Amino acid sequence: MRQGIVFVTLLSGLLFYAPTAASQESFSWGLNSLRNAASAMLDWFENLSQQINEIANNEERRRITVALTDLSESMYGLEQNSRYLLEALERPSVSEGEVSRYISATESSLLDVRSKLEAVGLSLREQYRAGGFEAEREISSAFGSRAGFLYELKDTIRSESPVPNDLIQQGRATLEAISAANEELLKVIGSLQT
Amino acid sequence: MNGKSLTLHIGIFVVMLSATYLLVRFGGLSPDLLRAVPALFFLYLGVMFVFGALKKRRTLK
Repeated sequence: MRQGIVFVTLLSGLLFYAPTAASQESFSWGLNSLRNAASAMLDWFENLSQQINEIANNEERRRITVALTDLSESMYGLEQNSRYLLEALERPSVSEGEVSRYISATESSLLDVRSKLEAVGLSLREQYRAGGFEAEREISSAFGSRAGFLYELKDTIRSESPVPNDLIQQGRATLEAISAANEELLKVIGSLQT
Repeated sequence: MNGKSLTLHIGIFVVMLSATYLLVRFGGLSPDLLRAVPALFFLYLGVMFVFGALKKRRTLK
């Protein structure tokens, strides 16, 4: 410890007072070469950091793309299950068991979309240049209206009254919203891949 | 630093970078770990330099 303090003191003394000494020229030459070496090392370090940063950014982009593709697949599943449910509701003769089966399939798709949206929502919003913010808002809104439609439908079925036509229209509208949100999401994925 | 030890340090850096890349790409570790590699390597070089200097000083004594 004591030796280290002495070494640092001697070094600072050398740096501050040696230029006034007789060997000024050789000292400044040494200092310059040290400075050049340090700046070359720093340049090399910055260059290396930039290159590695690029690799890390690519990896992050790849991860987001994979997660968004998963979300898009779940959205497509939700869209399909919702379509089957609406087709069953519009059929004149449909059993209650069939409708409940479609409802539970749509509910499970909704849960799937919700968990994936929770996982990737923040990353999607951060891709604002690729339209991620709007896509996330559209998906959340379509998700909310689909969930609302399902609860209303379940209430109607539970009360054993016929499903009103305006509820089916509402279901059609939310289906369109899901489809539009998925298209928006696919655009984001496409722009992330280019 | 002679040619042999320079090759050794560069080799260590390449192995360190490749291992980190593989861990990030297939092991699911954070890409921030990859960003820390140059700083860690410089830290390693600094430690090596200090140890080398101390060893040389001890030998001269």
